[in-house]
Amino acid sequence: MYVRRMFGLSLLSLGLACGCSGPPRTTRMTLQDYTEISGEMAAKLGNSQFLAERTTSSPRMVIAIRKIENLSSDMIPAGAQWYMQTRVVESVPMTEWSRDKNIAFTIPADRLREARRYGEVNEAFATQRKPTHVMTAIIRSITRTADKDRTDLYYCEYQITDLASGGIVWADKVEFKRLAEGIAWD
Amino acid sequence: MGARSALLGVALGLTGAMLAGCASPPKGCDGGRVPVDTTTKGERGDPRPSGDGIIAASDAIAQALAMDISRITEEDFKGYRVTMILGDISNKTAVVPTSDFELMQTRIKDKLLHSGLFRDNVQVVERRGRMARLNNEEIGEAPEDIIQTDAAQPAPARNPQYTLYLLGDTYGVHRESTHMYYLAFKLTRASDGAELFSKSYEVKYDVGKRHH
Repeated sequence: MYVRRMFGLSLLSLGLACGCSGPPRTTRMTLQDYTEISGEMAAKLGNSQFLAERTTSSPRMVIAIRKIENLSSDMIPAGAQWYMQTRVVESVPMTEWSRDKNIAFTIPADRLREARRYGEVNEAFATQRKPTHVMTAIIRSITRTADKDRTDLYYCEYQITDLASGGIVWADKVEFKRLAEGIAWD
Repeated sequence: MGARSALLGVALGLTGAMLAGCASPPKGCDGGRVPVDTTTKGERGDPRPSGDGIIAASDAIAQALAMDISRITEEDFKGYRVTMILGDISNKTAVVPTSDFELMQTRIKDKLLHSGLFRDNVQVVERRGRMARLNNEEIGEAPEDIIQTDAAQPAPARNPQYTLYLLGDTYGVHRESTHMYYLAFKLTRASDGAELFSKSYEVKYDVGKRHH
């Protein structure tokens, strides 16, 4: 009984010690960063000159989105890469864009392949999707370190490109630095 | 009884020591997000160009090119709208990864696309290799992978007379704690390699001084 109490007390001590360790010292992007990047990009796309110049009589634009390409030093899970891209499109008033700007979004190629592979849809499904443009995004970073200080400059670029000509019709960015002092396991 | 007291003493001592450990000075901090034009401690002690230095260089080069573009198209292309492609970067800094300069080149392009004057005179296009990959992935490469019918036809080959490449040249000179960098971007015509625009940015760091 007494030994059990001692064991419990030691476990409590260990728990308290772990609780004191605090969050890791890191320059990795946070979930809040993912949300803010996509929110900011959605606002920039909505207020862009590219969109303002389009009318109902503009040539039909069918946009396919693609997963974000991660060229940064951070590890960004595939789910987060899709999340940041899908969230921009989700914020778009699709009915208005289709009616007033002649812009539509189509199922991503990766999603269509997956649906076919698992037999969710038949072979004829979406064969006439015909995207004219793709919306891509790339995250890059620059890392600088000195002793225990580390800084990462993140640069997130979104772009809409004409698939036929390769012309970039819209591009914008979100950039910020993250810094940390100490070592990762502090 | 004595053994029990000793065991209790050890357990309490262990608890006290662990709690005392928590009270020690913090070993680090998660500094969070800061604006890109801030020079951080981590950057001051690093011999490579700081993030804000790269931002400032890309701003200066993009601004100069945006101001000069109508003169270039008027003088060399008689007002025709030319095509610009992001070209190769020659990295001779020895210590800076080329990906840092690719970020800089991308940033220059993004800044230029925000200039109405620039967009009126220049169409920026993606690299041919990247476009081929994007088209293949959107349309399908192998016969069993074709996911759409009647794909858009790729545009005809570009006229090199009206195609410009934004090329980068970067050099680094290092002497003990002093590091000098020369970053230049040039607009070069595809047909004859003529350099129609060039803007450079020089920066020198003394890591010893930056550090203290």
